[in-house]
Amino acid sequence: MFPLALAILAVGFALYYWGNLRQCLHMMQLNSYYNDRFLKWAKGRRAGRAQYAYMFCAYLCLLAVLLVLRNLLPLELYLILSGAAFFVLAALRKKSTDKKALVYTWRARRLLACAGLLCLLFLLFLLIVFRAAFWWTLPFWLAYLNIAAYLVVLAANTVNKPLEKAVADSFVRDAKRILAERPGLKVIGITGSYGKTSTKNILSQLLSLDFGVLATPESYNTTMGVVRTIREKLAATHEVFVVEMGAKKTGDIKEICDLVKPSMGIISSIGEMHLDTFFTMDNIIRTKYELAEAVGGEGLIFLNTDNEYIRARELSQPTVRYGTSGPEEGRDMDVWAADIRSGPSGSRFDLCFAGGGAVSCQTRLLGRLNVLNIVAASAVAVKLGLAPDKLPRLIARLEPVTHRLQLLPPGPDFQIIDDAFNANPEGSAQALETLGGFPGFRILVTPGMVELAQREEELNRRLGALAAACCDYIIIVGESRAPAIEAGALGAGFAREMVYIAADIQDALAKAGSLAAALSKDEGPVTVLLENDLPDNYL
Amino acid sequence: MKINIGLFFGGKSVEHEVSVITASQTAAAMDDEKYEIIPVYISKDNEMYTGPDLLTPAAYRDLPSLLGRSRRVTLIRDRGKVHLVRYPAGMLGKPIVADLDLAFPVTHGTNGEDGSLQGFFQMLSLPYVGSDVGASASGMDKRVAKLILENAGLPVLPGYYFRSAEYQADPDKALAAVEAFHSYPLMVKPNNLGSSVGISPAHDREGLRDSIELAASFAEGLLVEPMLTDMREINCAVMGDGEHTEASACEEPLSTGEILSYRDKYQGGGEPVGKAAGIKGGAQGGGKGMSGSLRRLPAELDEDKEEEIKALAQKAFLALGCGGVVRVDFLLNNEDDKVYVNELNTIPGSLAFYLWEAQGKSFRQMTEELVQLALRRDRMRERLIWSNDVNILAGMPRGAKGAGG
Repeated sequence: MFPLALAILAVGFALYYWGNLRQCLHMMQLNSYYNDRFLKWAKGRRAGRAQYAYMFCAYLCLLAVLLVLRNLLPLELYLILSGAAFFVLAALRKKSTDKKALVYTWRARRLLACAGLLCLLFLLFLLIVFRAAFWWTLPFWLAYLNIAAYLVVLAANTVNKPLEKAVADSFVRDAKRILAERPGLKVIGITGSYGKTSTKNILSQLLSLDFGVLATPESYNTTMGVVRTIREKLAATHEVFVVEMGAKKTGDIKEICDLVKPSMGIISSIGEMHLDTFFTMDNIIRTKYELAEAVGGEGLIFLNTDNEYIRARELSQPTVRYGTSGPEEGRDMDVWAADIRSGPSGSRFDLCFAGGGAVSCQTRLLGRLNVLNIVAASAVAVKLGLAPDKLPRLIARLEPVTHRLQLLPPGPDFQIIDDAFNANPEGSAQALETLGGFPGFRILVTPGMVELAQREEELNRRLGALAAACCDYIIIVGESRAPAIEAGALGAGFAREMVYIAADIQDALAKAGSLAAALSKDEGPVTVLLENDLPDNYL
Repeated sequence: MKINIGLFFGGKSVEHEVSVITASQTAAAMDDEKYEIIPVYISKDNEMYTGPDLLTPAAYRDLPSLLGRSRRVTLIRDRGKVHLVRYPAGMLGKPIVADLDLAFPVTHGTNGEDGSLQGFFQMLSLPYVGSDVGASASGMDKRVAKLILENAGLPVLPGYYFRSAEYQADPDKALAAVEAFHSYPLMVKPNNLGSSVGISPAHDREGLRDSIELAASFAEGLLVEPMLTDMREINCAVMGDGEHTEASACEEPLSTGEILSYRDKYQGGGEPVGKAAGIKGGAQGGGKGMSGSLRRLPAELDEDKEEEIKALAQKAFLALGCGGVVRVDFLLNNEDDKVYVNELNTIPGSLAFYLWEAQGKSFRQMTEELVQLALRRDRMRERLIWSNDVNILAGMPRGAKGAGG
């Protein structure tokens, strides 16, 4: 009887605990297994505080009940009842909808195994200390484990650190070996505060007919992401490897370059991204230029010369300067776009080369920023031997990248411009400008911008002010950044009744739907811009 | 890291042995610094084997012992890669023999040149050299090829198609129908065979009966064409894809009978006429495949005719949507100097390398270009489906019914 009672308790608890542990694991993964970032999330969990208070009270009650029951019930029945309570709690748990799902990688599994082991060790320790009394207090300890799930995950992550380091090192060595076998492989690095993913995608699309191209997949822009791409995807038929290089701190870019040794590099932009981990603007600039150093005198570095930080920096190595304004505007450029006309159906422009010669191009990609990205990719493609007169056809065929200024097929009520993966001030401004070019009723849906340290409020205020000029209605998702955005919009003369604060993205889209339904047909089409919709750990 | 190329040959086809020879020639020509050649022999009952000796034609004298030394394999796609795996897997050792980056089919005739093998590669998403499924299938089907070529405005002989079942049901009616189509002499062909197997001329009703029965033993569909009595055969190869094509030198295969028989084509003539000007091969007799047969290379043609044939060859290549290297066979009527496209070989014997060598392109360079063409087509295909990676059903409510088309 006793083992059965214990089994019921164990299963009930496991069911209940699993939800909590899984969420902590998920957050650990979204925070790239960094303890400090994970802790920041755990502390900031809004629902957390209320939940803890409520749980603490519940446990005090449980303790009281336990003291009474001890004399009234046999241990077996007591354990079964506790188990049943956990079953009920598990059933009551609210199902969460994740935007970026948890992926059960080997690392996540190892972390989970370690967390489980730590829980068992904890209980074993208590059994040794309390002996017979342990069984009566077991439900209490289990409940405690549940509250402390994030501490368990944190501890497991710390315990696993040396193991993970060894695993990662062996992967890096393997990736280096694979690259060493491919001396002819042309590696092109792309870094920048914004535009690097779009540039990477455009470049691989431009090259993908004439070369075997491998590009790092979406957001695999860390050293380990690149290592994984090399180990899993690099084939003998690949001739060009396009590597997106992301950085959150100085040295990040250098680390990736040391691995892949790029012979060409693009610095797509320099802006205020990740200021909270870089601390100063100078650190950001230095980090991006680690790519220029890696490419060196033998290679070629492509610089977005529209960017003032990049213009301000002289380089004594072979460079190709590109931008969206040419010699007519007094800019010294090698490749540039002139006569740009952007609208709701894309852009037209002339792609000009310093040696003379220009081709007129058109693209379905929205926004002027994409024209800049196309110029960057075209400059590289030409240096790789693509004839400039082949470019217009390839550019006309470019497909937008998902969640990046992507015009979705129109729905019954409204059409959506999906810019959900954008998360930087310049990109947002461009997206709003693009929205402004659309006819009819324009709605912005955004949770605001994060990760900009002390400047967050100011930037969200600015976002609000820009939105006031470009759209007819603003829906802010979540309350944390709403005041700043709203203040910015109202300050720019936006009407308060045209702002709505939504609980989540579903609520926001429902609101947009009801707005569209309420509008009469003659007010034209309704367009919704989804801007900066971030993964769960920020909401 | 070399590019792993699976060289597929043999197959359930009357040209099985010729394919073994083409394979050994191709493997010898390819750059082994760049490519790892993995031979995949397809037996006459369509089982696949790999092993180093499979590229030595002499080893096929004792087939059971050769297969005993080789490994039975199959192809499996797993996580974006195509593995050549041992079958049965066995208890010990890794089942994966090699990962293939590219397939190079040099199978001739049915099951290998007619789109079947190409369809197998396509299902595996394995890029492959040569024409795709549709072009291979229509190239092998003489009636379909004729219809496509005619539709594209290319000169072809008129053809009459019927099934052998029709003939068996009512021979006299079928014979009368053939005679109504065109007067004798006629040429009777199995509709979907490469090479010259099963083809014979008919000069009267008795001969027609024999010809039909011969052809019917090779194929269900039969094709009858008027026979040109005073003509020459001219062959010209084309290499490229939908964007760019190139024509080779022209050859005139020399025959010993009315048409170039299978013996003529692949086993060489009896006479060592190699000394005659412009005639290559033949001297060593059998075992050289298509490159060893009797021919006049380049063919004796005036400049205009040669240009016309080369242009027609490229047009035919494009009309069928071919890829890689294709040999286009022409009939040149000596009476009125008119040219007809006779047939397309989407995997020509010896890959028609001798036609390219004749104008300065080595076999090695040819294989290099073929590999690049295959990879390019694969990339083109990937581009077409680039953005359809969305699961439309992901947003379906549970238990919802489809719209019903």
